[in-house]
Formats: sequence, structure tokens, C-alpha cells
Amino acid sequence: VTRVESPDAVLLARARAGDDGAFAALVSRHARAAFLIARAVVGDADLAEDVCQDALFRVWLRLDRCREPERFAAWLARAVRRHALNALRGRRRSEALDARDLPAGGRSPHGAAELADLRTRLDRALLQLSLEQRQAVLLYDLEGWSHVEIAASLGTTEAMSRQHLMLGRRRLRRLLAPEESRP
Amino acid sequence: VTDDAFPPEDRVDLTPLRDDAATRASRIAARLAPRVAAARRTAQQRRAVWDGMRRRLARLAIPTLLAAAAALAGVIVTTRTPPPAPPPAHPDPFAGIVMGSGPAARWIAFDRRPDVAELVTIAGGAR
Repeated sequence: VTRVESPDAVLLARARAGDDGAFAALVSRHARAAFLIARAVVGDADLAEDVCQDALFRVWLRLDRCREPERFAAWLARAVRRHALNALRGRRRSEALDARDLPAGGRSPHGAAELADLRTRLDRALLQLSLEQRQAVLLYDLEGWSHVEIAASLGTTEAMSRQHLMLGRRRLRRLLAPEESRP
Repeated sequence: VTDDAFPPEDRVDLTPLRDDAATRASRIAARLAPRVAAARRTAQQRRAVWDGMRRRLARLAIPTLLAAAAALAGVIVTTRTPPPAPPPAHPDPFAGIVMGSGPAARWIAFDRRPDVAELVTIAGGAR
């Protein structure tokens, strides 16, 4: 993932040389995408937060393994995804993927509660998508990643990334539509 | 591949997730920094210990090697087996029978190997 305005490669070189500030800058730049990837994999936001933190720590320990510094973001995304998948298998948190375990969340007149309710509904709907669809939707629509970047992080093709996004959005819209308007 | 292959689907408003993700990302970054710093401190301490050990070992290496070589040489010298002693001249008692021409044989016993001339003398005497 090449970002002209973001010298990831420079920061990476400094981080490799022992500059923790440079690594912190890389983290602050990519933490949100990393979290969304972890969330796409494990489903549960709290668990994803822990998994993401562990994944980033492991990334710090293995900075030397990034062979293409100019594509640091894609390498990081793959590392986080792999770690999240391992964590999911290891902890056998299949219940995290079970939308029935999420709170139902009733409508509230208060703004904060409404927001929480909306978030819960989004969470539940996202859990109905496939892992690839979730990742494509979250990274494209929330992080503004290109299909090239998403494909690199998923280890797939740009065409497949487009397909995942299209199908994911369609399914998400159907799931979020009011009951009466569903086909 | 163009967008025509997969007709664009309108995006869903994920704003609530965006805010939540931003909050959590900040928290992750904040928690990660001390963890990294602690790990770096531990690694530095380990490296310092290892470097110290290496320096100490390097300093001690030659004297230790010399001492070990000297000790080994001493052990070799002290435990070296002496060359086998030459066999005694003829320590075994010697027995022989001198057949005389007389009525009875005569036993002669020596505690040494007899000289040939001596035997000849004895044999002659027995006759």
C-alpha cells in the first residue's frame, strides 16, 4: 500500500532502529484499520480490541520481517488478520460470531442510547456477512482503502474485493432494512 | 476489472462504527506504547547481561585455556604408565633330568637356568 503523503517506509526504518516514537506513529496511523480487520475476523469489538493490541505487539517484535517497507500497511493488515484468525481458533470463541449473543438493544429516546442501539444493529448485521465481505465493507467504507489495498490484505484479487464489497453492502442493507420492507 | 463488472451498491452508513473504531484505536495505541517500552527495557537488560557475560568470558578465555592446558599436561605426565619392566633374567626354577648311565636317574633342581657347561659337568659326573 503506497501512500505518498505517508512515509511508512521511513517510519518503519526508524522503528527498526529502535525508535519507539516512530512505531507509535505507525500505530496511530494504522490502528483503526487494524482494529477493523480484527473486528471483521472475531466479530466481537471487545475481543477485537485485545486481539488487535496483541497483534500490533507481535508486529513490533517482527518488524524485521516486513520485506517491502513501502507496503507496510498491507503487511500489517495480513499480520493482524492472521493473528485474529489464530486467536479465534485458539480461544474457540465461536460464540463471538453468534449474533444471538449480542444484546437486542431497544430503541431509546436518548441520543447516546440510540447510537448504541444503532451500533448494536450494525454489529449484528455485520456478523451475518462472510469474513471477507465484512473486511471489505469495513475497510472500504470506513477506512477508505482501495480495492487494491483490500485485495492485498485479504490475499485475493481486486475483482474479488469488489465482489465482496458489493455483496456485503447488499446483504447489509437487507439486514438493516425495517422488517416490513424485507422481501 | 471495472466497476461495471460489479455494479456499485450504495454504501451503508457506518458512522456509529467509525466513531467506536476511532475510540478503540486510540485506546489500543495508548495501551500498546507502555507494553512496547517495557518489552524494550527487558530486552535491553537481557542484552546488557549477555554482553557482560560475553566480555567476561572473553577476558577469562585465554587464561582459562592456558590453565586448562597446563592442568591437562600435568595429568598426562602424572598418569603416564611406566614402560614395562624388562623381564627378569630367568627367575623360574628350572628342573631337568639328567639321564645317567647308572641304575637310577637323578633329579637335579635349580632355582635358575643352569649354565650349559654346568649341565655338561653334572652329566659327566653322573656317569
